[in-house]
Amino acid sequence: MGSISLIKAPALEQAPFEAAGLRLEAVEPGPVTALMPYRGRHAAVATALEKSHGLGWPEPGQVIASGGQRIAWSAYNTALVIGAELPPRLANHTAMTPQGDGMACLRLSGAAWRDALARLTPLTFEQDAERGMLMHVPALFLRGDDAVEVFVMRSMARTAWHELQSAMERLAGRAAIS
Amino acid sequence: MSETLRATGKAGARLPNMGHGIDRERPVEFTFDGRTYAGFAGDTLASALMANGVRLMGRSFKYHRPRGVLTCGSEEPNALMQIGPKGAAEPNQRATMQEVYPGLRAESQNRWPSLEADLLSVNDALAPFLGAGFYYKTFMWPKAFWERVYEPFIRRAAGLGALPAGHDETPYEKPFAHCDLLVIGGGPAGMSAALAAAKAGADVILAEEQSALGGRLLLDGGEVEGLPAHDWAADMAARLAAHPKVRVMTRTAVTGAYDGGVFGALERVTRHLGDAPKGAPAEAFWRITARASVLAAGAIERPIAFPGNDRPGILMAGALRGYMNRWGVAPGKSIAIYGRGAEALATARQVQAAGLKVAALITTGPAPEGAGGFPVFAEAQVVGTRGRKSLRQVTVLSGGAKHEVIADTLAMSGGWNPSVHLTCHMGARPVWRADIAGFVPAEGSVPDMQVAGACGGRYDTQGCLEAGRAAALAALGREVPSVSEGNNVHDEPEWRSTDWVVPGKGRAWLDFQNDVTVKDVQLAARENLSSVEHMKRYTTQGMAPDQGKNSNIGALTVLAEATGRSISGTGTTTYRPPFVPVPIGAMGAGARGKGFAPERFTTSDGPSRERAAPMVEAGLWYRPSYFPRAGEATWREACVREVRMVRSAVGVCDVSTLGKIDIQGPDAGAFLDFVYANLFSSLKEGRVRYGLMLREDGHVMDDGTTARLGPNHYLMTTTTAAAGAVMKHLDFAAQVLQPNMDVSAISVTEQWAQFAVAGPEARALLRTITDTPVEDADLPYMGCCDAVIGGVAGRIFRISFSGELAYEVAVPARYGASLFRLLLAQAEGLGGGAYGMEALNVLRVEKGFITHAEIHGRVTAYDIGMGRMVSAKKDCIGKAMSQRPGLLDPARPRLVGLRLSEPMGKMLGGAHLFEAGAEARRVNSQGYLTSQAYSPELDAHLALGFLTRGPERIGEVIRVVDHMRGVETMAEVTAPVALDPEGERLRG
Repeated sequence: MGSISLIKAPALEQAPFEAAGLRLEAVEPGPVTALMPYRGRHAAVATALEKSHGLGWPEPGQVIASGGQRIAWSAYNTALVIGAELPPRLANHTAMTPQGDGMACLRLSGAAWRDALARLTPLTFEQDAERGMLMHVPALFLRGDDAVEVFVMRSMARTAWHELQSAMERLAGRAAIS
Repeated sequence: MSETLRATGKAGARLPNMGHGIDRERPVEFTFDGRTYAGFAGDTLASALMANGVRLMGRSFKYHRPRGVLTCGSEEPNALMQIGPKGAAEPNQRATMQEVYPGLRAESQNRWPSLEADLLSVNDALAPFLGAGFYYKTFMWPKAFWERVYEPFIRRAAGLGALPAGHDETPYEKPFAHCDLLVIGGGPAGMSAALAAAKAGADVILAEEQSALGGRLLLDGGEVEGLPAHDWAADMAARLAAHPKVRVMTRTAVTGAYDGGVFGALERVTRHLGDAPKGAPAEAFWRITARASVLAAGAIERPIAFPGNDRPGILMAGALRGYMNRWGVAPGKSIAIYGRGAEALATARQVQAAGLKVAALITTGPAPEGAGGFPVFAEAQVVGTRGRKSLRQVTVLSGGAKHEVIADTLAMSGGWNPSVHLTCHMGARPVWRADIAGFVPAEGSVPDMQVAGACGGRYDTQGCLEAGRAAALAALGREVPSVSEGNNVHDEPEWRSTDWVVPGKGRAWLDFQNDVTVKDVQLAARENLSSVEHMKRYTTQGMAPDQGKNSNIGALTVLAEATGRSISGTGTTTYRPPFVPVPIGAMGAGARGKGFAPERFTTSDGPSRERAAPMVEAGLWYRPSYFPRAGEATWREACVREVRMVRSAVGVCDVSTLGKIDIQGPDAGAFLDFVYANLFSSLKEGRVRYGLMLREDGHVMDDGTTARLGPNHYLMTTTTAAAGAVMKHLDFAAQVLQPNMDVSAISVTEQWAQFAVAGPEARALLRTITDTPVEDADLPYMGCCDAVIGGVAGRIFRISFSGELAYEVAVPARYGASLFRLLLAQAEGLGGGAYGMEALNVLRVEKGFITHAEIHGRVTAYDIGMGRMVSAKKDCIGKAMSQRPGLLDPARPRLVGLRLSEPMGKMLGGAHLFEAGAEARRVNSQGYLTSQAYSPELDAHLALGFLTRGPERIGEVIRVVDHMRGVETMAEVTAPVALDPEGERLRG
């Protein structure tokens, strides 16, 4: 049994797709842990994260980043720590649930990423982290300057890819209209 | 080409110095009814056909009357065509909106065999019998004929155009947009509003349904600020296009106003192109959310209802000016103008200036000052026309005498109707203004919407520019400049309804698209359908693609007079979205094929497909139905083998699709006690318990197992079908029903890949993949533990849905595929293998385990024999309601097993149960069958179902009748559990 080891598989095996000046790729964001602090423990969680990773507790819609590590609001009383391993003692203050295996992260980069997503979601991306539907796929969107990361359920990764690719093709088609 | 030359040669209908909207350097060839014509870039199909001398462009709906172009906008009722490649042509496209492109293919519709010789025009001769509501009266008897004879016949005879038979493969899209201010309409008022708002710092979307900004400035000629009006508009359009705060959306018709500042808009993206780039949408159905809006939709010219007013060659005066000015088309050679006041005179002057003959100026009021150089009939009306497929002659009544005017074209104007449509989409009714003889929007019709320009009753250009600016600033909450009292071309002679409805005999059309005449509306009134809404439905006035844009006001005027009411007292019908027709394909953009619904794939999807497993959709998930092996001809053979394999060796099945919910917090146990019918706070760590969840109404919501992983940490499983619903239910319970409980719940369905390993050899298999002890002493039935599996931290649960010794092994999803392959390899070494949904179903039916086939939403814990699971020690969701006497009645259909008692019989899911000897009628039904399976282990056909007083009737033989499939048999009532009722196998 010691000789057997399981092999990791990515959530989506797909070569990057480029169109309309945009690039779509499946990326591996590193470990993802959902935190849902216990009653009245948000400050304690914030302090602990500040000390350990230079992070804090995000307001709704907020992302706090430090180095390659981030904590992103993701739902009611819930935030995702992305790219960081957390000390087990944090569990005194918060429910901690690994989520990295359950998600696929699709990164859409290029100046017009908002135009592509406008084909799929009514969100305005005025905040760093927004949750909504990508067409018919529930998604968490973390925006960057020239890119957005779309977190979807692992099982729906192919559908999400299909939707994003279609939107990019529509945009490319529009751009080709003289 | 010779065809083209002949066509263009015949026309000579372009005006040399007019037509700012066309590019004479870029000729464009297209076909209409198979014949090739040439137009220019910038032409619409209507303008190009007119320039080619084509007048006859369609046949009317009911009487199949020959019809020509009436308008030059989206309100066009007559020139509706089938446009696009053969077999995929879109019906009811308006030639007035369709821009020509090389290779465009248009066909007339609603005619047979051809537009020129339409046999159904016999209807026109039968007109006296085909008045409003004729089919309600005519096709009454015999009663049975309606469905079989009359309706199919009427359906074939009626209707415009034909839908393509195939799937619509056209690409569409359904995007979203957001702005501070949405300006609807790009005429002078709209352009002025957009610029003012952008200057004030607002993000502006300016939507215009035409291909270019300018509105009537492109159509009417004249000057603005010393420039030709169209040049001024082009300059303004360039400024707006260059402004960083303005997004100009041409070819975009705003179709509806909805709650929350949301508007629908249809953009024609490539409908004007012959060679659309790959991937580009043909049309886009936008949903625009705006903080505020300005409606600058302009006005639609009102036709005059006079006898014979529908002949080709009779068109709106505003359209006539438009065809001359924008497209350089002379609609005819000898043109009569019929209208009132200065506007009619201005039209006549333009016709003269274009070098065309003014056959007569017919005004409904006094002769306008300065009229001359052509015959003028003052205080006059047109009372008749001649010319079958093209106007030849107009009869004018003036000064008590009839005059015949020879004319091939008649330009009419009965005034203007402000385009109030969008202001009525949320229920407001427009207000009649007698001074302009038009309905205008009521104040505050749509929240945060301002109205500017002609749609608010302001018709002069300067006034529109000022009103647009003022409306934009008002919409943004800024200081509003004053708007001057403008010269309104319509405030000269007082309006009379005879300006747009001529009294007298003869068929005078109100609704050209639906063939509704003045007489039809009068008939409706006589038959007491005097409400405007009743009149509409009786006569069909205002229905069909144009939704009465041309005809509504005329019709209600006639109705008002026929019923002795005022126009404002009669009111309008309800204006509803969409303002222009929206293809269903655009509304459903992206929802075909792969876009229809998300597809969810398990981590074992690849390995399962490698084994050629056919997939079955379970919710959105794709799960293997069975794993075929060489020599197996049917699914049934594979299924039987897989069942035997599990019962005799070991089987592996992906169960990751079951919902998994991680529940943590100091109150986690109390919370579970609240949401489950049975007790969970007493569950020991490292143990698993079966749980039953009720809805608030006392019926069963879901079932599953929940494991206690730590003092404050549980893992709940749900059925695949109800995973989402249970998660939602828990969120609601935690946030709303028990806000004081310190508990959190989060879905981990996707985080963990989980596989059932079931069968006598299950333990042997597990020993090969983990060092974690899995013996009875370490991991008894209904136990769970952390485990290291192939070097990965996972979990093992000793639970069984097959009745065998079984485990469920879970690892983080990224290792799922690898673990599945490993488990299969090990299982195959032990004489086992993978099993699919079919085998899983047989295994659980043998054991009487329920799924949502049984807990379908109408059964209680009592019905499924689990009444005692509703704990007496505590309260839970649904407990009180579950105790209602009606839900505890022994006569309720309750869960039983059934065993086929005829060797060749068949029991099918959905069949109903009857007493032996009872007639198989609805009233005698005593229950129904929910699941069935052939048990290889027992060599018996088993089923589960609900039978009234079921548990009291074990041993009784009953009738099982499937009326739908016509299958009937006899079966013996048994206990639900058919195999190993003591559970010896699963305890190992």
